[in-house]
Parts: sequence; structure tokens; C-alpha cells
Amino acid sequence: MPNTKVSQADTAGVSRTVKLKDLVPAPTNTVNTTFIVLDKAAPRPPPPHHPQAREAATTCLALVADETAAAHFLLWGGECGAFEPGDIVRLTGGVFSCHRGSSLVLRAGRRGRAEKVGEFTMRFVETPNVSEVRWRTDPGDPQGMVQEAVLSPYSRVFKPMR
Amino acid sequence: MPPPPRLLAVGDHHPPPTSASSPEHPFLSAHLLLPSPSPSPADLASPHLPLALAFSFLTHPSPLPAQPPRDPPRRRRSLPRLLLGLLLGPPLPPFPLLLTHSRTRLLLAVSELARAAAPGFPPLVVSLLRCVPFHGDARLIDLLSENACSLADEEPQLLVAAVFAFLRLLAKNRLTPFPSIADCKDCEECNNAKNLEECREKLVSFCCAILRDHFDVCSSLIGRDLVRSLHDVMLVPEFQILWKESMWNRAADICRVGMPGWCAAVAISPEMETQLLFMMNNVKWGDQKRYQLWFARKHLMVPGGEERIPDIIRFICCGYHPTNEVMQSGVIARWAVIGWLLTSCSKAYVQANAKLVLFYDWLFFEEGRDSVMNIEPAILLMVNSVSQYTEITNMLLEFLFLLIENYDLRRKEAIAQCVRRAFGVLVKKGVVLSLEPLTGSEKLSPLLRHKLVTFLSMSCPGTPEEACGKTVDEVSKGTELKKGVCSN
Repeated sequence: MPNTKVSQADTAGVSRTVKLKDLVPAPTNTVNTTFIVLDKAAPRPPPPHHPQAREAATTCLALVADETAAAHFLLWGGECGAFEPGDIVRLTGGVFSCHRGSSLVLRAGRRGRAEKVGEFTMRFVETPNVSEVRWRTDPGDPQGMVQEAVLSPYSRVFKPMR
Repeated sequence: MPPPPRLLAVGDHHPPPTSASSPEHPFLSAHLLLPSPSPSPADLASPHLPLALAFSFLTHPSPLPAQPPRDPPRRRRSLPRLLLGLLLGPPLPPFPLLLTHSRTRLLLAVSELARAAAPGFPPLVVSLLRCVPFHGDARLIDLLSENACSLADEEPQLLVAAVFAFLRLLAKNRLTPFPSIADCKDCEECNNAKNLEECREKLVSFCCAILRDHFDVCSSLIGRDLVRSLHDVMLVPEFQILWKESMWNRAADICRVGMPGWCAAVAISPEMETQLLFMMNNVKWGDQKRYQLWFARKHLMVPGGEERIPDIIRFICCGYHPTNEVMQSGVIARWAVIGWLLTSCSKAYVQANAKLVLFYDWLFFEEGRDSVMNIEPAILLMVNSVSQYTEITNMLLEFLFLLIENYDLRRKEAIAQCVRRAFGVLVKKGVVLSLEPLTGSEKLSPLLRHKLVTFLSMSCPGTPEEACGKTVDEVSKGTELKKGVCSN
């Protein structure tokens, strides 16, 4: 029931749109944000013999950024061909969490949606990269996460272009 | 109920037309409020009417009803009203995104608006001229030819913009054949739409006719870039005849007039302009690499794309003069963007033309008449490249001397004076503190450095008017220029 969620978020005073620097890993589909695609890796074919049909899609890792931070975004299925470097994308109901156990990525997930809303005309920074941060549970709040260490200021997958 | 028709060719990963972020949204929501193409009297007062009518016209599946016999004035009165939304509403969605069918309908709409001389239609035509070549663009030449007489009286700037846009299109490699349309196979109107590429002769005769009949307007509004554009098409016999008959003895006078910014913008697409301006207003030094790559992928690494580099450089020199505030804000400067574009040329003749346009205003520079901002990028590119990218400074200086010597043999001295004056004004106005970074550079080729020192130390006999205003035979030089400067 997405509507209920929205109203809860609004009453709690939580901003519905976040900047990439404010992303915190969470298992919920609540990330609304806008970024520009900086680079795209080669598509990866689906893992063979995966039991779940949904998981059996081509994926493609992309470097995305806004004016506050960069992140890794995992393009899924049809998204791989739909977005190119330079595209401005609005993500609604996305997830920022560990994917397949290791890398921390932003993605649309099952209920989220990524839409191309423009091209080119957006400023960005390539550091910090929130996907290159190690997080741990907040000792004061078991529900929350805090940054433990910066693994790399820039993406280690996509080299900065300067 | 069938789904409403669409204006845009966008896929699944774009905002749906019902979303406020879709450029289609204002048109569709007006259509949903007033779906009938024949509004009731009550609807006439609605603020949504113009957009609803425009939407219904652009998405209408069939051709326009045949013109009622013996009653053309009535149709002329009623049609523009139907299309008023195109002129009064929010800006149309970007032209490249429109479905082929909507584009065909838009061109039809523009023809009708032009025929009715609806106020405000010229900007719409200019915006389409800036997007050529595209499928079905031949309708533009038809509408301009049909209305040439009235346009010459009432909208001379539009007519001149069309001549300039077509001249640039006729230049080498810009008119490329189109792949067949994919998204509108069933519609007769779209299938029969002709491309400018198929009517090259018509384009040539249109340009020649307008230049012959309205020479003064064309030359005063386009300025010296008219001469440059004609040099580019000099291999076309019709232009050779035109040049010999009516232009060769006036070329020197035309070259005294600088090109206005709006004219420079006609030769690049609105999308290119938006992206270039974003780079030069918002992108900080050091951050430009990705933007440059995206721009190149989209606009330069496509058929005929590289050939547009001279027009892009011309736009940067004459069409965009940043304020002091912008120049001091740490964003990438015009000269750096031009340096990148110059190094993006893989074809020698494109690079030669790119260097020519960069120095073009130097060759005819007159203080007070020409803007120092038009000649600023070239000097800054030379001075700022000298220590790290000396080959660029060498290449540019060498080309400048080549131009002085060869651009126009009979006006060689006048051109040398203009270039000398340009150097002087750049120092006087503080664009560069001195020319010492060039004349005193150890890295610069000794031969060029010596040539520059000698060139600058020569006195400037005569006034600017005497030096630059001589009327001389330029026809042979025009051809020689093409051989000497723009070979390969």
C-alpha cells in the first residue's frame, strides 16, 4: 500500500526526495531521487539456472551522481538499454542496499521506477561515492546505520575522468 | 475507450504523458478536459482550448480536409485559430522527441500559419530550420518558397535565416539520406513526406533566388559569414554564377559587417545550444570531460556531425558573450571549449574550416564596429596553450599567417592591418596584458615567433576604413581559398 507509506513519511516529516549524499542503506523501497548517469559498465547476463524468474535478468552497473555525491546504480533488464551516460534519471521508490551479499548499490527494485527526465543539464560530483562506504549498525539505534569507513573516495569500478 | 493518442516517441522508461514531468502533459491534460476537436460555445472561453486544439491537430490521423473550393479565405481564418496553441501555449516538446506523425502534422500546421501570416509564426519556423535535416523537412522549403514575396516584406529576418540555414546544410556532407521512418508506416502523409536531401536543386535555386532578389537584406543581416558560406558551396555551378554576377565586387563590403548572434545560432540545433550554454555557464574547470564526451557522442560522432564543428565554433565566438560574472565564476571558458572542438576534428578540411571561423573576425576587424568578444577566444586559446599545448599555439599562429598571406591576395595588406589592429585591441582592452607570452615564448616555433615579432612591429599605414573598405575582385581568391585552405 504505497499511499499509506507516503502519508506516514509525510507525517514523520521525512523529505520525500533525497540527495545521494544522504543515502543510508535500508531494506525498504523508499528512495526518491534524481541523478545523472555518468558511465555504464558492460551488461552482465543473468546467472544460469536461477530459481527465480525475476532474478534472471540482464544487469548492468552504472555510475550515477548528483551535485552532492555519486553512487553505483544497478540497471535491471530493460533499464540496461534505456539509459545512457548523460541521461538525467528520476528514481521513485528505489532501494539502496547490498545486492547479492556484497556491493552496495542503488536500484529501482521490484516496486520502484526509473524514468529519463532529461539530458546533460545537471551538475554533479564524483566524490564522495556512497557505494564505496562501509556501514555498520548504529550502536545508539539498532534500526539505523552509521558510516564506519570510506573504502574509496571515488568509485573503484569506474575511474574518475578528469 | 481507446487510449488517447500520443505526441512523443518515448519508451517505457520515460514519464508517462499523465505525469507532470512529461513535456506532453500540458497538451494531453487540455485534450482530456476538452476532447472534441469541434468545441462547444461553452468551451470557447476555456483557457485550455488552444492547447486542446493543438493536441488534436498534431495527433489527427488523417490529412487535412481538402481545401473548400472557392472559399480559401474562410479556411485561412479558421485554421490558425485551431493552431493558436502552438504559438501561445507552453513550448512544444523537443522536436527530436516528437513522433514522426506529429512532426508531419506540425510542419503542416506551420505551413498553414505561414500562409495566414499568423503573428508569432516566424520563431516556430526558425526553430524547425535549426533542426534540419530531419524526415519530411522538404515542406519547409515549400512553405518558404510559396511565401517568399510576403516574407521579404514582413519577415525579412526569417527569410535570411532560411537562406543561411540552407547554405550551411548544402555545405559538404551535411545533407545525408535518411533511414526510412519506423514509427508511422500506415500514414500516407508521413510516407509521402519529402526530405530536403531529395530536393537539393530546389534548395540551391531558392537560395540563389533570394540572394539575387534580396541581396541587400541578406548581406546586411548575415554579414561576412555569407561570403564564407558561399565559399563553402562554390563548387555548385549556380552559386558560381551568382558569385560572378552579383557578389564578387561587393564581397569586401559584406565582409565589413559582423555576423549577429541570432544568425550564428541558426546553424546549430537548439539542443546543441542548450548543452553548450550549460557547459559554459555551469561546468567548472576540470569537470568538463564527461560533458564533452556526451556532447561528442550525441552531436559529433554521427553522420555529418564533425562537419558541424565550424558552425559550433562560430556560435561560441559570435553567439555567446559571457558576462564578467560568469567569466570569473570558475566555469570552463569559451576558448577551452573551442580548443577541445579543434582537437576533435579528424578530417583535415573540417579542421581548416574550424580554424578559419575562429580567426574570421580577425581578418576584417575594425574597432568600434566589431566586438572584441568575437576575437577573444582565439587569442586566449593561443596564449593559454603556449606552455603546455604548444602544438596548438603553433598550429593556430601558422594558420593565421597562412590566412593573411592567402585568404584574399589582392586585399592582403588590408587583412594584415585588420589582424594587427585585432592584436592591438586585445591588449588595449586587457583581454591579455601583453603579447609577451607569445613573442617571448621559448617553446613556440622560432620561425613563427620571429614572424610574429616582425609582423607586429610593422606600422599601420592608413585608416581602418581605407585599409578594409577597398572593393576588389575576390572571386578568384574565393576559389583559391578553397584550394589552399580547405583542401583534402
